[in-house]
Amino acid sequence: MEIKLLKDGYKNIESLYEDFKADMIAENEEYFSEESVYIDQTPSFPIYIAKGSTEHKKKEFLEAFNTVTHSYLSLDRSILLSEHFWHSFLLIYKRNYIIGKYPEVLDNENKFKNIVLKKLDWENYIYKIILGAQYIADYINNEDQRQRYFGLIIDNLDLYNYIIKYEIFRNDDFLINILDIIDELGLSEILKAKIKGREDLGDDERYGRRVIFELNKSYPIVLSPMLSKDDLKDIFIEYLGYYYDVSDIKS
Amino acid sequence: MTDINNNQWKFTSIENIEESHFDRSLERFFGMGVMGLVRENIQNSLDGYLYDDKPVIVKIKTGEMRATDVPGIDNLRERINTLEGRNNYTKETIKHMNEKIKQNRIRYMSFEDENTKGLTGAENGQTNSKSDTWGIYAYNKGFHFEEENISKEEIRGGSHGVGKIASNAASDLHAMFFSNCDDKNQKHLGGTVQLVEHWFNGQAYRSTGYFTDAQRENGLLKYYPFSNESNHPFRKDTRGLKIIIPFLREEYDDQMAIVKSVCDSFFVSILKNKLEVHINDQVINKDNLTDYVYNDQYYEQSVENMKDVFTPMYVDTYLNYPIEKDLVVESKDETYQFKLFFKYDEKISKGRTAIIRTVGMKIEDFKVNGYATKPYNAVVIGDKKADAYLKSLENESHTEISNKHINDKYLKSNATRFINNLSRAIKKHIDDAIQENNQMDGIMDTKDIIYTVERKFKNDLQKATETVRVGNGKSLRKTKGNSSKKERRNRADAETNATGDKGEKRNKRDPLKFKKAKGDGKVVDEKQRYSTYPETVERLRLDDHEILQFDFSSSKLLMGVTECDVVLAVIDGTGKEYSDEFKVDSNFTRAIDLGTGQDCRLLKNKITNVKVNNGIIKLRLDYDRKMNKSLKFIYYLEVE
Amino acid sequence: MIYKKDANFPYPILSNHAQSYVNSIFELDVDVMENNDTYRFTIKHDIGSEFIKRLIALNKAELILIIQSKDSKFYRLKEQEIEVSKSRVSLDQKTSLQLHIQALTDISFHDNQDLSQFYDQFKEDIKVNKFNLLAYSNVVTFDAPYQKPFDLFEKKLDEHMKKDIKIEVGQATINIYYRKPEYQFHTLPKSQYLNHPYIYIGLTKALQQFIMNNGEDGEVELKTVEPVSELENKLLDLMQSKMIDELTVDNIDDVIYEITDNIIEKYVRSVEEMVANGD
Repeated sequence: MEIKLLKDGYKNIESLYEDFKADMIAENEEYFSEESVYIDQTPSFPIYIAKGSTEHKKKEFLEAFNTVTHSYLSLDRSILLSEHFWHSFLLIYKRNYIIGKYPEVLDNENKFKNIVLKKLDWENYIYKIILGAQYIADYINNEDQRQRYFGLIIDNLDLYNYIIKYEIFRNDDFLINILDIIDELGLSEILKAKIKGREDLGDDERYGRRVIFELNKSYPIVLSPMLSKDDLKDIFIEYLGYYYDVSDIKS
Repeated sequence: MTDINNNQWKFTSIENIEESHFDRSLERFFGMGVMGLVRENIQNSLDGYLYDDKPVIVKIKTGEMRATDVPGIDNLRERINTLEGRNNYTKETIKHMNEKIKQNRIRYMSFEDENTKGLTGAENGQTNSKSDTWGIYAYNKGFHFEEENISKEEIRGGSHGVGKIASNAASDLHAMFFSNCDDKNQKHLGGTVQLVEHWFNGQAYRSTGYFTDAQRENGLLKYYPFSNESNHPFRKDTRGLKIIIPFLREEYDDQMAIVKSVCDSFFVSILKNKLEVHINDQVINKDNLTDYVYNDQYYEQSVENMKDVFTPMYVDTYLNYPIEKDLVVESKDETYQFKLFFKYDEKISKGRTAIIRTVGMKIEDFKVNGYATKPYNAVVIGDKKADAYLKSLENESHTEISNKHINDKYLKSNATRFINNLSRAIKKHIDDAIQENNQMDGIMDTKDIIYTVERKFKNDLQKATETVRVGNGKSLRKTKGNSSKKERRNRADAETNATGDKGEKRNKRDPLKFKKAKGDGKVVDEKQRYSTYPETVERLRLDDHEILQFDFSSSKLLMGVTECDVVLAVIDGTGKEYSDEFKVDSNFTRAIDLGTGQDCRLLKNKITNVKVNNGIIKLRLDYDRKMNKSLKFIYYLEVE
Repeated sequence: MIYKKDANFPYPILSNHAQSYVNSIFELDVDVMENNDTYRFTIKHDIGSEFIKRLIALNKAELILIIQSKDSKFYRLKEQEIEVSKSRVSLDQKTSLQLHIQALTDISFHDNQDLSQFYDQFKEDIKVNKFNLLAYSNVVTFDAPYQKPFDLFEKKLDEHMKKDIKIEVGQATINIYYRKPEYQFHTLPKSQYLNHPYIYIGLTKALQQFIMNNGEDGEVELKTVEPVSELENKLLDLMQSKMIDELTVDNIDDVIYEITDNIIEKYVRSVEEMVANGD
């Protein structure tokens, strides 16, 4: 299917939101550039997963991971991680889906921008889904295992967000190793918890984030993305030990 | 009922008067004056051309005649006498008509064409046959010929078919005649008059009157033209059409204006030898057009002062500046080609583009949006396809192309696209010309003021970046980041040789750099803060401690300083600096000043009371068990 | 993730900027070819330390290629060439490559003869742990080509302006708008030099904006900065080619002096000439 791309500067077109509401974008040539991309499949998937119960969000994430894995991952990165592509795709080809699923985009422009026109970076759900799906699918062929890893990401979302925030750790080996370590050592709950008794740290510091931050500060002396799982595990526990009593954890 | 026996002027009877004003087009054409009249009539003549290799000749005459020689003048007088105005304007006009019709000697103007087909099928009278152009011209108000040959139809002008009324507008009585001689040498005379709806002998009539004969056929009244037995100026003895406007309004009676109108609108037709115009005893043809156009009696000749009329520039551009490559303009569904003539001249103060029909008539002095004051002049002539499209874009009086009169949404946006693309294509030429012109590097007056500086930048930029081809005809920009010291040294040497002392300077920079205090009030004790360059710091981690050594002996900033604080800022894996993240008091158990053997105080992110000995600082820092030993730092000095 | 920031590491690191080694060189060059599905990178490098070269030869250390665009990919470099699928890397977006050298075992520096003076005295005691970094190279970056690769300025005439001149810092060039052609002195001899003050102002504006967009506390460390706009990248190229490491609110005039060719002197000289000739 041909996906026509919007012309540069589409974000600044004042009438964009009103025309989106009125379904007037697709037919207005003025919005389009000469460029287009071709993609085979265009199934819809949740693009904004911030609301509802934990169960609901989990279901939505899984649906998104699986849809992206099956239908989008084979695209060239120049398309797959192009904000221009996704915004064009959503605005023109997924309007009905978006309005059906996220009717609040019709309420006001801020909601619209936050859900549809969001910058494609680590805070964007599409970005989170693509990177997670790609890292897992590239390394894990077994379908059950894939679902397990998707589940691990969802269960450790706070840490996952923090990991992909840093370019250093936007890396497949690293993510899978970290998920394995958390799973093996049963650290999920601890890592999510807020750190107590350390007024010198920020208000919302959590054990998991601090461990990742220590890894960040140690880079590139410690090339954590290149470490095997067991080598990384030792360092992981050492760094956790700066903040948490790990005597019970050491395996 | 029309009185067919007594009246040469036929008006259709109606039940009652509904409209009490004159046809609106009259006023508009009157506003356009000689120009509108000349354009409409010559355009029609050009459309009727008979030979590809002979110019259409249009003879324009103005003169005096007796009112009584106007055919059907008595009938007309009776009608006009009965007209009643319902508003001021109509009253005024009717009053004017009544005064004028009393005159004995009147002025007239005629347009007679030769080497043209004239109208056909006059003997068939009022018909609906498309090939009987007489019937259409004579009896339809908004006429529109359709040539049987489509390609001819496309290049015909006259897209709105109201041209005839331009002639009515030129007459004090709103009357005009047309005298036709066809290929069988049949001569007919017709005419129209534009009055208002009126009562006449107890009957209401329409506003338009036809000078025509009529017969009743099958109970219906059908018009047939009078065969032409009139005298000068109504006679037409050679094949073609002649338009005669009696009671010529004095605003039109202007030889100079007629000559200029002909040149302004038809210079391309004339220069291409498609048209020759005689205005009384003056002849304008391909050989002498420039005698008029380049004559300061007719036209302002100074390029700087041409601000409304641009004909001398257009003619110059057309004759001397043809562009090899056609201008290609796309609408949404079609591509059109235009022949382009283009001149760039810095003296020009108003940039205009003459848009010309294939028949050679100028439609508009087109202003390219945003480029109306660029120093250029251009002429574009459409091909047949473009012509047909332009025709659909023209306003009613063929003087502007626009999308305003188009109602269909698609056609309107298509027209917008076309006009934008046309503008863009012309803009590109202007931009290129401006650029090209500015590259001309004269001895005294180089137009491109930036050129010399730019040339240097260009050279430097070319050196700094590398464009690499990666196959598939694609290329990428490659930069190699900071080169090594070796390369920098080599380049520094080369640079030093070339430009004197520039290369030397940076090697001698002070090892410290003054930092302004941040606005957050953290530096409460008014100490000066300096950042250090990593190259002036030596740091080594050993088993459970590290050695830290600074050499600021060459720093002017630290001269005379004997004591300072050392602040540690940790750098993360992305290169980001955190000034409050690393706390010395929880990560080091002890800090020993190796110069004095004394302990230093550890306070949050600072090691305080460190002695400076001739710019040298030496410290030993003992690690806490829980310190991350894989960190890297930038150091700051704080000095009283 | 590539690493560029100069800082003090806890032990000697070989890089093009650090002082730990006498011959501080670790240079990388990369060529790239592409076909429909993959990029093929050809890696060339130059290491300034025999000690490190030996470690690699003995398999005690390893070269690691890092490719960073939207995310980071790490490859153990066994051969000179490496192929990467386009579904995982796109050079249409800015992509940076760097080599790191990682220790594969605990390494003692006692027979490292390449260290600079300070570290040489401690070399018996220096140990680098397994998997820790030994060296990092310069960064090779690929990006979409500039739209106007070699232009820094554009001049334009805009008679509709309310002001006489406008100097605007654009995406790709510095644009100087004149309300009238005369304001370019185009009728005077040496008019190009007479316009140098405008160029000076344009460069000042652009560099100030550069600092605002890329700096902290009015300072930009050019080594690590990654500007967004084409103009800023070109200015960065220019400054780096003149070996300028840092741009601050205080050294803008010095930087302009370095990157231009005596534009003020030329301006002054042409005014003097005109006065002398009575023009």
